Amino acid sequence: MAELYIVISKYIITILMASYTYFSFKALSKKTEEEYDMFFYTQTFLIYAIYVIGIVIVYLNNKSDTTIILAGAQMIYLVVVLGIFPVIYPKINRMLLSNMCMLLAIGFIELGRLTYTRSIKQFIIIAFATMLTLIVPFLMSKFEIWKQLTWFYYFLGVGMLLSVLLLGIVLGRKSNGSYLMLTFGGISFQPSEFVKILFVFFLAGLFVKGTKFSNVVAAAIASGSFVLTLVASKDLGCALILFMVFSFMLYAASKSKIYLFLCAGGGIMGAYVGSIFFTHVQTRIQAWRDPWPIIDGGGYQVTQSLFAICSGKLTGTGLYNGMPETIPEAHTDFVFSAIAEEFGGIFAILLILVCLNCFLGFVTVSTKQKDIFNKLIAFGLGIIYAVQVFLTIGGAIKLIPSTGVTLPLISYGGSSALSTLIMFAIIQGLSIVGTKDEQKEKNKRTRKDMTIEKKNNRRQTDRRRA
Amino acid sequence: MKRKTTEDRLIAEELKRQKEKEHYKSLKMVDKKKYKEELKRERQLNKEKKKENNELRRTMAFFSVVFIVMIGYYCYDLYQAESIVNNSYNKRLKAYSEKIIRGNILTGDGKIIATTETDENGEDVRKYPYNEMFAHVVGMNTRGKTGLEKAYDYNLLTTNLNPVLKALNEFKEQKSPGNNITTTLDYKIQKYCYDSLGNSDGAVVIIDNKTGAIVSMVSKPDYNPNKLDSMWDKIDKGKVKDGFLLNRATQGMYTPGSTFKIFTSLEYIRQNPDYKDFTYKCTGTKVFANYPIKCYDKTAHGNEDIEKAFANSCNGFFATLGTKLDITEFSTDMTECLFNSKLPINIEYNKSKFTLTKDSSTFDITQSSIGQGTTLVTPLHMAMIANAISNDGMMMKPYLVSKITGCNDSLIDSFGPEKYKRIMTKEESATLKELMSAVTDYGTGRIFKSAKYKTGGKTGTAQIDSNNNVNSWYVGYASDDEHDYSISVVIENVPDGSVKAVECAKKIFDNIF
Ligand SMILES: [Zn+2]
Repeated sequence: MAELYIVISKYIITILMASYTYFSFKALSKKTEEEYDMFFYTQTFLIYAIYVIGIVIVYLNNKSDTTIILAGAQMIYLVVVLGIFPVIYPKINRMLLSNMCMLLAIGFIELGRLTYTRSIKQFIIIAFATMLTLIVPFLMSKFEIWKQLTWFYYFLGVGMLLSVLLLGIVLGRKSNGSYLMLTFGGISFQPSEFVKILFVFFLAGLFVKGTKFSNVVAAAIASGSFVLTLVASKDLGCALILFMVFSFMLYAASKSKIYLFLCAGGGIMGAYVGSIFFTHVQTRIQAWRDPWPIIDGGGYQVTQSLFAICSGKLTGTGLYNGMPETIPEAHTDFVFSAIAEEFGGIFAILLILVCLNCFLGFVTVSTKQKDIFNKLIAFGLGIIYAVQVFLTIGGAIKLIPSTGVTLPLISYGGSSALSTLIMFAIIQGLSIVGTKDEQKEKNKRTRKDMTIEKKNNRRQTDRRRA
Repeated sequence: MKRKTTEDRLIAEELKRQKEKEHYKSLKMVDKKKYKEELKRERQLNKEKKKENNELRRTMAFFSVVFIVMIGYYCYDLYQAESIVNNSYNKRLKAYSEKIIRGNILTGDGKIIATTETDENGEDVRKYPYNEMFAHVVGMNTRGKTGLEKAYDYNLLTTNLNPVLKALNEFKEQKSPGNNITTTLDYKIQKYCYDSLGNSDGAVVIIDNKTGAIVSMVSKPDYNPNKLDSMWDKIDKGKVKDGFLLNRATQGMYTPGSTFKIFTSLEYIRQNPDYKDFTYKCTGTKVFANYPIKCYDKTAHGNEDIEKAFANSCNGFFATLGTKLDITEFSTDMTECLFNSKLPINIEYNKSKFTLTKDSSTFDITQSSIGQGTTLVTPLHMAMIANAISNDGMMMKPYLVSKITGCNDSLIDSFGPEKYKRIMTKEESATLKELMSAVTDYGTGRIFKSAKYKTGGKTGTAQIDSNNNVNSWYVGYASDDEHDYSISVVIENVPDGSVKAVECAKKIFDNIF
C-alpha cells in the first residue's frame, strides 16, 4: 500500500506547506505577543508533520533500520532546535527559526530520498554546526569588537580564496572544472561559502565610517579583488553574489540611487566582457537561450531539470515516483528541480515563498537595528540569501543561465550548510540586539514620561499646599 | 477575529490620545511648551527612522518582485510542460511504459490504426492493423520513434485515471491504460490516396480547407510497421530501397518545377498592379544570359497574357516575369510564404528552401522563376499554400490530432481549426484562383474539365537528372457543397511527358466527391 500512501501524502504535504507559508507571512507583520506565539507553535507542528510524513515514505522504500535511527535523530534535532533555542535566547526571532527548521526538514527528506548515505553525512555536519552556532548570537550581542576588524576580514577572505586557487593550480585539483575545495585529512572545505560572510562584515566595517567618495573607491577596489579571484577560480555564482551584495550594501549605506545604477551598468558590462572571454560562460548562456539543439552537450543539465519540473506538474508525482536521479547534480545545484518533480509545482512555489519570507525576515531584522554596522550586516546577509536562492532556482527553471549555486539549507554540502547556519545565527544575534534596543528605548521613554508626570504631580501638590 | 483586533487597536489608540490630551491639559504653561517640543522631536526622530530604512524597504520590494517573476516563470514552464516533456532525451518516458499500456491511435472516423496487444509472453506489442497504409504519418515506436508515435509519445504514455486508482493498479502490478489519440485522418480518403499512388514513389497530402485538418498523408516507398524487425535485417543486408523510413510528405525536399509559377505569379501580381497588360510571344525557346529556356517539347505557345501562360505553363513567359521582379521583395515575400521557415506542425519535417537574393545571377533568377534551380519544397508546404489560396489568402494551421481522450472516452484535450497566417490578400488569392482554374479548364490540367466539382490547380514537372526523368507534381484544390480540400501530389522518377501526378489527383478527387 506504499503507493497509495505516497499519492495521498503528496496532497497532505502540499496542504501543510500551504498553511505553513500562510502563517510565515502572517508572522512577518508582527502581531500581538499571543498571536505570534500561536503562529510559532502552529508552524512547529507543521514542520514536524511534514517531516514525519515524508521520512515515512523514505523508510517504506528503503526499509533500512538506519533510516529509523536517522529519522529519530533528525526528529530529536528538530524538537531540540525549536524547543531549546527559544529558551536559551528568549528574544530570538522565532519566525526565522521555524523557517530555518522547515528548510532543513525539507532537505532531510529530499536528501534521504536522493542519496541516503550522503544524507547521513550531511545531518552529522548540520547537527555539529548547529551546536557551534548556538554561541554566535551570544558573541554577536555581547561584543562590539566586530567593527574594528575590517581589514582583517578582507585579508582573511582574499587569502582563503587565493590559497584555494593557487593550491588548485599547483596540485591540479579541480572539481567540476573549477578550483573550489580545500581538503585536509579527508574533510573538504569550500572557502567561498565563508568568504561571503566575511565580505559582508568587511563592507559593513567600511561603510559604517560613511560613504565618502574615497571610501567607496576603496570598497570598490577591494570588492573587485574578491570578485576577480572568484572569477579566476571559475566560481561565477559566488562572484555574482558578492557583486550583488556590494551593489545593494553600497546603496543602503549611501542612500544613493546613482550608485545602484552605476553598479547595474558595471554588472552588465562585466557580464558582457565575461561572455566574450570565457568559453564556459558562453556555453552556459547558450544553454540558457536555447538548450534543445545542444541537449547532448551544454544543454543537458537544464533540459533534464526542465523534464523533472514539467513531469511534476502542479501536484507532483509523489516521492519515489519520479526520476530526479536523471538530473545531474540533483542533490546540490538542482535540488529544487528534484523537489519540484516529486512534491509538485504548488509545493515548489510555496518553497520559493518561504525563501522569500526568510529574506524579508532578514531585512526586517536589519530595519530594527539602531547601530549602522549591525544594520548593514543583517542587510548584507539578507542579500546573500536572496541572490543565492534566485541564482539556484532561476537556473533550474531556465529563467537565467545556471551558475552552479546551491539552495541554502536544502542542498547537500557541508560548507554551504555550515555557512548558512552561521548566517542565520548572526541574524538571530542581531535580532536579539535589535529587540533589546527597542526595549531600552521604550523603557527610556516610559521612564521619562514617568519623571515628567512625577514632577507634575509634585507641582500640583505644591500648588495645593500653597 | 481580525476585525475585533483592529477595533481593539483603534479603541486603544483613541484612549491613548484622550489620555495624552488630559495629560496635556493638566500641564503648566512652561511644561506645555517643553512637552510640545518633546513631542515634535520624537516625531522627527520617527520620521528619520523611517527614512533611514527607505532603502531597505525598496530592496525588499525589489526582491519580492524578483521572486514573483520567478514564480511566474515557473508557471510558464509548466504551461509548456507537455511539449517539453515529450522528448527522446527524457528517460521518464521509457519508465512510464512499464506502468502504462500505450494508448491507441485512431482515425477521425474511429478506426484503430495503432494499438497495443499483449503477446503470449505477457509482453506488450505495438500493432498496426492497416499495415503500410498509415506507416509514415503514424510512425513507429520501436527502433527509434517517428511520426505521431513520437509527437504524442508522452500523451500515449500517460493516463487520466485518478491517482488513487492508478496507485491501486500499481499495487496490484497491473498496467493502467494510456490515453488515446484521435487523428484528423480520414480512413477512406487515406485509402484512395494510398491506392491511387500505386507502386510509384512519392507523396500525397490532403488538407481540409475550412479547418486545416490533414485528412490524408501518404508517402512511398513505405514499410510494414508490424514487421520492422525483419525489415531491419533486410536493411543490414542492403536488400531494401533506401529512404523508405522517410516521410516524404513532410520531409521530402523536391524541386517544385512549374508549381512554383504560383509564387512567381503572386509576386508579379503584387509588384505590378497592371499585370494583365503584360503579354509575351512564345516561340518555344528564349535565351537568358546565354542559356536557353525551353517550353515543354519546344512548343511555341504564341501570344500569351499571364492567364494563358499559366494555363500552358509557359517557361519563357515566367522566366521573363522573373527578370522583371524586385528580388529583395520577392525573397521577403517567399519567407512570408513559409520558405526557409518553420512549419506549424509537430511531426518531423524539413524547411522548404528559397535562395534568391538581390545579388543572384540572371541565370539563377530565371531558373528559380520556373521552379528549377536551388528552390526546394515539401509536399506538405505546397498543400498549405493551396489551402491558403482557396481560403482567400488565409492559411489554416495544419493539424493531425483532433482530440486526446482518456479512460471511458473522457475528453482530455481537443484541437480545432486555427487560422495560422495571411500570406496574401483576398484579391491576390482571387487572381491566383482564376489562373489555377484556367489550368483545369483548358491548360495542362484539362483532364479535370468535365469534373462535377469546382476545382483549380497547377501541374509541374521538375527535371531531376539528365536522363529525362522528372518528378511529376500537382498542387490544387476542389470543392462541392459538402467538402473542400487542397491537395499536393508528387510522384518521383516518371519518364518525361507523362502527367501522372495530375491523373493521380483526379482519381483521388473523383473518389472523394
Ligand atoms: Zn511557351
